Amino acid sequence: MTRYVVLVISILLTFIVEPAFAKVSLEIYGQSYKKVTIGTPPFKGDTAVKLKADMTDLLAKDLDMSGFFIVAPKTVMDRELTEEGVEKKEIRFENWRSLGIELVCKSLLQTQNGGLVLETYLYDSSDGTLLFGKRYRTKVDEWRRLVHRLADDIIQAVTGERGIMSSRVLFVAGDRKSKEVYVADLDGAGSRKLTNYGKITLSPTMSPDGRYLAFTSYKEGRPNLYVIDLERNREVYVNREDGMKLASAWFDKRTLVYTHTSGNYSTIYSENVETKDRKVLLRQEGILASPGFSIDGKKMVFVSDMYGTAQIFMRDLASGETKRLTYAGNYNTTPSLSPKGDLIAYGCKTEGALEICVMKADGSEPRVLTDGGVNDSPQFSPCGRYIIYSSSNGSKAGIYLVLHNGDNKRALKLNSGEETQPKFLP
Amino acid sequence: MKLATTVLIVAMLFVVYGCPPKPVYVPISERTGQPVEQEIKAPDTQAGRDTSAKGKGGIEEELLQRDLERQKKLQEQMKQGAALLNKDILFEYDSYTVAPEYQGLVKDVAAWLNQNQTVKVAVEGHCDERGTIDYNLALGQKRAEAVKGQLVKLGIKEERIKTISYGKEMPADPGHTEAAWAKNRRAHFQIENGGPK
Repeated sequence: MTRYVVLVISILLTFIVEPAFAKVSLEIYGQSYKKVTIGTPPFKGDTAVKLKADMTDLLAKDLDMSGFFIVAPKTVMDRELTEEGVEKKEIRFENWRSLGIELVCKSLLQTQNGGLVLETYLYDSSDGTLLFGKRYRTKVDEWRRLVHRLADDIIQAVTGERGIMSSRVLFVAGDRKSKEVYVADLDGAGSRKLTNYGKITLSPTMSPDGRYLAFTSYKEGRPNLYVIDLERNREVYVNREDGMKLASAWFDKRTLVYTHTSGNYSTIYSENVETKDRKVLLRQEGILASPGFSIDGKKMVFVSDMYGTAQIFMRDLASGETKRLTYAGNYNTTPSLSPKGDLIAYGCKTEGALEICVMKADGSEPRVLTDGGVNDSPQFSPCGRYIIYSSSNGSKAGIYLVLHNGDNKRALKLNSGEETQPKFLP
Repeated sequence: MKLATTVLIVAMLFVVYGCPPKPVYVPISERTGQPVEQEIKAPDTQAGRDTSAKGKGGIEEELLQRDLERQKKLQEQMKQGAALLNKDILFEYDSYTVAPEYQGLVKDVAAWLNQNQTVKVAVEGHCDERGTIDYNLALGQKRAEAVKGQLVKLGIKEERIKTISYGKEMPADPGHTEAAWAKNRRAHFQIENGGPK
């Protein structure tokens, strides 16, 4: 398999007139944030009308999906507004203000040497301040990635942190007889199958450099743990020991962390998939599941039934000190530690449903984010503001995105089948 | 089944042709191709024993008859086993303790496995949909292991029992009701080899 095509965008000019200020901030336990109203008039320039319209639409879609903006509908912008130039002196900000639009995002798209050149300027309509200005160059067929990059830059300029619109998602899709591992853009474009065994394949996780993909598959009858090298398209590791083996996380580029349940015991191993050097991180009677790590690799969050029911624990790897984090209810599983280490998203069983919850990393202040059904496999985005998870309510499971405060719930349309176990690609 | 039918026919030929009062040994090679239209009689062990003392034919007949009986018995046992092994052991939510009401079934399965030493079984562990995929895969394994542990305690050799977890991937009942979930939280037996297909 070839490595993902890396979008090369040369940023020729960057005019950030004043430091990016955080207009919007997300507070999980504080007040809710206020969305900013943004106008994204049609891209101007000499390129094909269709491409300009598609790019304008995609930008609006991305900004809307981020949850930080109210994107002014096309219909509110009259001819005068849509035909206005992109330069500050050409813009009549009072017209934008009168519509309640706080930010104006102007783009000029031109073709040069067969490629695309995009210039975008983001103005504060209250005083015409230029908040952000960039010129991008790329190939024509990379226009979607270009728009996602632009959206992420705008989100960064407004919120102080990059957006996730350029992200790709790893997930499992299929039906009861066959499930395969896929990767797709967050908006569902560019969906690609990474496995093709025609059997049940589950719990994929990709190494931080995107080279190795680990998963459990029933392709040989029994569930075994496999690692494939996506660059060379070959299997580099198989674990066929008795029992259930499930990959959970990568400790570093080569070291896979997985659980093994067999006999009376469950074990969390870390193993270098190249040298096969294996270490026991934790072994206990009963069930151990879903180990994950803090960014510094010092703490491990995991699930254990050592007190009779599935609960979440945090272990300091150096000292071995283990703290139980969840006490409410009899089923708290599949934890995901936020990149900043301050929050944990997890699945908890409430009356009749399996919900996605968020709590502080010490186990305090748990909150339910979902509303019934079977919700599974929450995972934080690399920026820590979003949680991706799967959800089904008696019907086909699909993948959803939500801000960690529970706002902005969005169904992602990645694949036509039953979709589960989403993960942001590193 | 084909083999069994052939054996039966050959055995019947022996019963018909090999019986007293005048046992005549007819080699198999000469008998093939002869029509078998005679009324099928129940194997007559008395007759068999009588002939066993007399001549080659009698001895051969007795051996085949014994094989036939053994085969019949085995088939019956397998049928019995298949019926026995078709019964699932159900579990409480998030539990992998074999409930007391299934002790009888586990004992019956162990007894049957003791009678049929060539048979190997797989114990499959399954879960209901109201759990996370990863945790259920581990839980299914524990359910299968719990049943295996009991069989081992009852004297079945460990290497005859494999365990396999399917988590919530293969529900017995795809419904979303309490009744469906109860059916899906199960350990299911599968005859691995030595048994009927």
